[in-house]
Amino acid sequence: MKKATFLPESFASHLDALVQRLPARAVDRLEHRRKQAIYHPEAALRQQGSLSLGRRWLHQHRIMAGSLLLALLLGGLSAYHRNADHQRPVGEVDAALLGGELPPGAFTNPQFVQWLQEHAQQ
Amino acid sequence: MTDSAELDRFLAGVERRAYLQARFAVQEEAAALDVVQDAMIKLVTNYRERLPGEWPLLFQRILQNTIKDYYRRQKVKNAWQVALSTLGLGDRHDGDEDTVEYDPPGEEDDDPAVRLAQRQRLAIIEKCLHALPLRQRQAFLLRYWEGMDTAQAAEAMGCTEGSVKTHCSRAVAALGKALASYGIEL
Repeated sequence: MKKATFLPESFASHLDALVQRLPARAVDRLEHRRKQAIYHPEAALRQQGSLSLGRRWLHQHRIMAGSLLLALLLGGLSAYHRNADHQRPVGEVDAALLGGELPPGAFTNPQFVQWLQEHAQQ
Repeated sequence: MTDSAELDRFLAGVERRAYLQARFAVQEEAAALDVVQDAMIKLVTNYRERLPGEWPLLFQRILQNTIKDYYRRQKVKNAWQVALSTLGLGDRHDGDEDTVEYDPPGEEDDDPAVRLAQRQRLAIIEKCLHALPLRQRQAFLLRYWEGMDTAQAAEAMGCTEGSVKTHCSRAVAALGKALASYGIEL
């Protein structure tokens, strides 16, 4: 089987062909960008896509990072409140158990719980 | 003080190749134009007082760094897009790469079949180059297309000569394999 050969120099000559065949539109734009870069670099920087895009990106990142932090903060606060609401009745039950005359073990007795339910209904 | 016309002549001579280099790297016409203009502005504002003989290497170095910066920005941008898309926000633009429409060749290639074959060949070449990792593509283009020696390419890329050689040999192997898979032999 014949082994494929690859000559970088030959490849480079194809790239030269690409340069010669660049679309006229791209060539015109390049020329315009070059004139801007040489004679009006500040204006070019203001107008330019990628640099201003970079700045826009920085701005967008700040906004996104800020939004993300805010969302995390709100989520944390909401979770904390939900947890606190959930813990309050447990705390009240604990206080009632400790403050009452009945021993805490009574509530684990199934017969006592049944008696309590019957009398509560009455 | 350096004459602006001299800078203009220099940049006019290198801009098309620079555009193609950027184009191979970023695969988007507008972004490639921005990259080339970025590099031009940096050369004009920071190095116009240097000797004109130093401009080619300086410009290449600036261009390669600008392309690298573009990649870094894209990486951050993509990370955000992935994060947002997993949350169901933001929009992802997959496969929005566009290919260059090259102007038709001269009168010697009037045969539509030949023209089509040439276009396809050029498109494949561009595709194979774009498929290379950034550093391999940079090393390959600087060495074999820009005609730099290893030391110059290393300076332009900001790495050692050994790295340039390694990147080049890997690029040549990868390109040969990729082109062979399309049935192209160069």
